[in-house]
Amino acid sequence: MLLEIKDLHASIGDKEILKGVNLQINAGEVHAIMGPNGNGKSTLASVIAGNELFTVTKGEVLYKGKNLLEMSIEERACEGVFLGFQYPVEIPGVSIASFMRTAINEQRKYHGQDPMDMLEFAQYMEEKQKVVELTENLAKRSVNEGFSGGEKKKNEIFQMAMLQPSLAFLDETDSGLDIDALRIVAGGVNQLRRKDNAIVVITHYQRLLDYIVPDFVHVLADGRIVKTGPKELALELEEKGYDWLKAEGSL
Amino acid sequence: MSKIESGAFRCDVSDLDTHSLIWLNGRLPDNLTARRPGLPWQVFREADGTLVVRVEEGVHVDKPLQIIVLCKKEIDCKALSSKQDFTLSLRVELERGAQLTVVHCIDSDMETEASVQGAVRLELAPAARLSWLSLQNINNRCRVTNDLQADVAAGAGLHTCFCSLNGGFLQNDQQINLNGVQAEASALGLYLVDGTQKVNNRVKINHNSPEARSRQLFKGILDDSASGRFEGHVLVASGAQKTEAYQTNRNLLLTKKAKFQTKPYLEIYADDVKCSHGATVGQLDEKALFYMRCRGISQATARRLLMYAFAAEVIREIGVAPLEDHLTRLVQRRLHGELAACEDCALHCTATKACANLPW
Repeated sequence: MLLEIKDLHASIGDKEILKGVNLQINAGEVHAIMGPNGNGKSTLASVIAGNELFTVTKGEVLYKGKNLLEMSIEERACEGVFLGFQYPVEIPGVSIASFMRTAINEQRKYHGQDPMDMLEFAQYMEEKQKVVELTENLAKRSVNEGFSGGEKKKNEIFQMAMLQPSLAFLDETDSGLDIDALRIVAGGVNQLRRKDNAIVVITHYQRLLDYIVPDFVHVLADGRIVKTGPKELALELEEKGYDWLKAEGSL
Repeated sequence: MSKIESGAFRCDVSDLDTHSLIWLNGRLPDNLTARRPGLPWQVFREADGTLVVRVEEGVHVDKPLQIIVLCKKEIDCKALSSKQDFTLSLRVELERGAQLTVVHCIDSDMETEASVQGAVRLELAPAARLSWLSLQNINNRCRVTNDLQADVAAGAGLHTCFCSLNGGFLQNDQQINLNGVQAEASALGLYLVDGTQKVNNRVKINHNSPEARSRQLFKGILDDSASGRFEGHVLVASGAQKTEAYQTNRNLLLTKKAKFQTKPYLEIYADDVKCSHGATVGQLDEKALFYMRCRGISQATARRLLMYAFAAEVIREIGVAPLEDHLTRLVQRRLHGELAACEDCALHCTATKACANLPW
């Protein structure tokens, strides 16, 4: 098993947001996590990435059999955990190229490998830019600075393509995208699906799941996963809304 | 920037090709003459000791004039008394349309205790262009006080940049008078200080004529118990319509003990102007650090990358490529903690004939 979350509780300040999440993810799978706003979807992704704003108060997260919660943020990334940000951060003065070169070389250092040479890196980057049609012009600019919503999300998927994570949490990667950008971003994610990695897509809307077809759909509500089903569950949610789950007694 | 080896001065910026003029412990070379063949300027001393550099009308000086101010123990000359006090008086006159870049390096060895006062006058005739780049890298027992006054005529442009990398106390004052239409000034500053170092920048730009433009960009990183101050003042006179003036001061404090005061100030008596100012004193962006760590970049590297990016905004506007590269290396090493005060730039030399026959 790639990731096993057992009874995970997490708080911000005094407020408990995750109230016992259980989730199992195997390599080769795509999971979608849906659910109403403010119920803990983004918190789950943040806790997996190691965001220190949140405190884990109970539970366990095993990643490749190791205790993920004991690892530093960068260690998790080097071990293959990736978070696609809902709100990617602007880093003025740091070009995408130097950001990615630093990240790749730090990850290589972590694995005891030599840094990638400049030429190899340039070719590698050029190849990966194609995944999301990231233009040369954009790649030279400072990370996310002055990017449109669509450009920021493309840049997230581009980084995922560069770093080749084993487990990617994509937090509302579809928010703020027009239909063309959505198609490109989703197409990029699909190119990155492999037998040896897993992708978790956090989304509000079924729309994204027309492009990225998940193996499992989970509903996260009130800090717990209250329902899990096949991809058709997303359609049912779209049609009936979350109140339907309430009526069913899941909520 | 510089070392003395076997009695000959050598600049550390190997690919920076300059005409150089060395000012050792307040003394100019004796062989300074009014006109030397092959030099694109006149240079002479006035009765009060002021050194004058004059570039004639329309002359574009091909390579920078490097003025190197050294505070250094002179081994086989008369010993320096415990504390030295030098005043370096300089006037640069650019006639109409002339162009010149001056690289003003203040270096010291590790031991000398000196106080250097620089009194600099810059006079730019119409359409002249002057870059004044000051690099300060001296030991913590040294003080530098620079007082720069500039008069910029119509259509002329002055670019100043003060890079303060090390020094016990560094004070850079400048007053730039934009006296003709479409005169331009950009005043930049970068300071990286640590320990108990102090750095103050005071800038006053007087917009005395219409359609002149000015910009100030000062950025600094303060570590340990370092402290500093920025006072930026733009005065737009009542007739100076269509003025554009922008002023920015940004500071990163790496510790709780580091202190910085910033006073941005616009004083405007004209009504058709574009002016802005902004000042910040803060820490590294935690969100950016998290974002970078999420990509596998260690916290230490992420911090360095952010600090370097912060400083680079000033470095890339210096306009002399070998100097930009050199400063990039110095700043990167400094941020790695590899560059203790003066280690790279200053004279830390063991040369025994340093003060004799310095070439210029």
